[in-house]
Amino acid sequence: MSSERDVVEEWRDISRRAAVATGYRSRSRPIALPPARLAVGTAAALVLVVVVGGLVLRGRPTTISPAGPVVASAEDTSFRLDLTTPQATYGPEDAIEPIATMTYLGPRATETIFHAAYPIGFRIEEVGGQWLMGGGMDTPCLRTELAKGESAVLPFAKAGSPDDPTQGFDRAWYEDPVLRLPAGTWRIIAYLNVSLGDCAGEPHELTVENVVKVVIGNASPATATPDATLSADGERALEIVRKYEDALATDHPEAAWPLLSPWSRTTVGSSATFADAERRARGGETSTVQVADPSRDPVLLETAVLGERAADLAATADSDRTYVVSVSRPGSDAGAASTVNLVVAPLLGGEWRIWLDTTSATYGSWPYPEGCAAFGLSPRRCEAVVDAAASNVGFDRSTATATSLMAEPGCGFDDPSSDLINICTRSMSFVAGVRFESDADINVRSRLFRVAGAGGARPAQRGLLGSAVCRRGAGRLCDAAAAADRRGCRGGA
Amino acid sequence: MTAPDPSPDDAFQRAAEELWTPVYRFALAMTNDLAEADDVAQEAFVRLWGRRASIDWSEPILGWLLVTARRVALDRFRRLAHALRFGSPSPLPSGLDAATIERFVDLRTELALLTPAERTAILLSAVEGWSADEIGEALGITAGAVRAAASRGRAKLAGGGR
Repeated sequence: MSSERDVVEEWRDISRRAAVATGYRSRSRPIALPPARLAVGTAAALVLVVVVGGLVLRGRPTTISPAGPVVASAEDTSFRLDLTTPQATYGPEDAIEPIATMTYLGPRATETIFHAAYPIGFRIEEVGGQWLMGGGMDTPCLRTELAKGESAVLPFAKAGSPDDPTQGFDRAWYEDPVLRLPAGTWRIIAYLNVSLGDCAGEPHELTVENVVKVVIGNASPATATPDATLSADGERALEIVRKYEDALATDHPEAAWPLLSPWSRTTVGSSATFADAERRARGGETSTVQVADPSRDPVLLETAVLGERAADLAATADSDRTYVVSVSRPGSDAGAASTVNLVVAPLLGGEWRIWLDTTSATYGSWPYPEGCAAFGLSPRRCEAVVDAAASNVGFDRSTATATSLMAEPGCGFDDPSSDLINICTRSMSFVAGVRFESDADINVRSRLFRVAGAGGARPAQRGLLGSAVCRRGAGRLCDAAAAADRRGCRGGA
Repeated sequence: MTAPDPSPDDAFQRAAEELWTPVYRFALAMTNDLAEADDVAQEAFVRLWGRRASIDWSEPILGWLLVTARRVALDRFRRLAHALRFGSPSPLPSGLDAATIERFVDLRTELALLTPAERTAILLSAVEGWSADEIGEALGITAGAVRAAASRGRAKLAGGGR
C-alpha cells in the first residue's frame, strides 16, 4: 500500500509525462472559411488561383456507393488531400456538405506552408454541362505552420464570380451559404495549392474530386432507400428510427412516443417528460440528424454496452432481430453534437420498438449550471431557481455533490403504456425541476412552478412553488410538487 | 502604447500551449485513463477552437476548459460513439514510453478506489495547487463537497479502499 504522498508524487510525474507526450493536436481543427457572401462581395477582385507549375497529381478514383460517402484522396511526398462528400445522391433541396482535409506528411517535424487566402480551394463542375463554379480566392501570401501528421479541415465554401450567365450559378446561389445543386451529375473538386520555403518556393499541388448525382425526388438521408445490403429486418429497424427521429426533429413527440418500447416509456416516466426533455435536448435545432445503418455487431449488443435496457431486451425482445442504430444529433450546444445509440427490435410476437439508452435517474436531467440554457434561464436566474429549489426543501446546497436540472415531471397520473402524449394542465407553468445529490446518498428533488400570470419580470423566487424530497433507498419517492398537482409519494426510488 | 489584442487564433494557440497540461491532468483525474484523458482534453480544446471568435479572451479561460472537459468526460455516449467510429478503444498516447505506461497501470488500480471527484480533489490540489473553490467550480460542486471528497479519498487510500 502506497502512502497518499507516494500516490500523488507518482501521479504528478506520470501525468506530466503523459501531458508532454500528448499535447493539443489540431487534427480536426477546422480552418474557418468566410461566408459565401464575402466571396461574392469581393468577386470582382477575385482571381483564380493560377497553377504555376509543379507536379499536379490527380487523386485516386472516387469511391462511390449508393449510400455514400464519396471519398477521394491524393498525396505527394509531403501532403495528402482528402475530399469527402457524405452521400453519392442528393435531392435538389438537400444540403451537400463536402469536407476537404489536408495533412502534412513530413519529412520535417514542422513545416511552414505558404498559400493564398486558403491552402485549399473548391470548384463545382456540371458533368456534361455548362454550369461552373470556378472557385478562386484572394491571393495574399499567407503562412501556416503544420506539424507532421497534423491535418487541417476545410468545409466547402462557395467562391467565384456570379457575373457570367453562361456559368449558371447566379448571385442568389452564391449568397446562399449552403451548397445545393440542381438535378444532374456534378463534380466537386478540391485543390491544394501551397509552396514551401516562401511564396514562390517549392510548389505542391494536389487535386481530388467527388462525383455526386442530384435527382428529382426524395433522396434525403432520412428517406433514401436503405442500402441494398441491408436485410429486411435491418431496413425495418432503419425505418423505425428514421420515423422516430423525423418526428422529434419536426417537434412531433406524439408521433415518436408510440415507437418506444414499454421499458423505455416506463424509464422515461411519462409522456409529458418525454416531450419536454426531447424538446429541450434539441434546443430548437431542427437540422437533419445522421442515422447510421443498423448494426448487429456483437460488441454493441453486449450487456455492458447496452446498459440498463439489456435485461428488458433479453426478456421482451427478439434477440435474433435486435439492432443498434447510431444517431448523430446536432446538440443544443453548437459545439457539441451528440451520438446516441438506439436499440431497435421487435417485441416478442409484437411490433418493432425502440429502447433508449437511458436510466430513470438520468433521463431528462441536465447538469447544473451547464443545463441552464436548455431551460431558457440566464445564469443569474438559473442560480436563483436552484436556490429557491433548495430553500423549498430545506436542502443545504453546500452539501451537494451534484446538482441537476430536470425536465417536466408529468402530471402524476400518466399511464406510460398509453400511446397518447398527456399534456399537463396546471394553474402554474413549469419552470424547472432541480435534483440535489449529496454525500449522504440523499437524492433531493424540488420542482418549481411559476404562478400563471406572474410574468417574466417577477423574480424567480416569487411565484415559485412546490417541492418534494426523495431519499434514495428510503423506500419512498415523493416526486411531484404537492402545491402543484397534489400528488402524493409513491413507493420506490 | 499598448500592444494590440492578439487575434482569436493567436489567443487559442497560446491557451493550447499554456493550458494543455492542467486540462489533461484534470481529464486524467476524472477518467483515470491515459487515452481517455487525451480524448477528453482534445475535445475540450476543439470546442474552444470552435468558439474562439466569441470568447472573451481577456478573461481566464481555464475554468471554461475544465467545465467543458468535465462535460465531455461525463458524456456516457462518447465512448460508444468512439467505438462505433473506430472499432477499438482509444489508443494509448504514442509518445509515452512503455515504462511510464506500466507505472500508470499499477497506479490506476489504486486510484480506481476513488471516485472522480475524490481523485480530482486530492490530485489537483496537490499537483496543480488548485483551491477547493477552483476544483469545485470545475466539478460543478461546492468547495465543501470538494473538501469532503478529498477527506473520503484520503481515507480510502490509507485504508486500501476499505
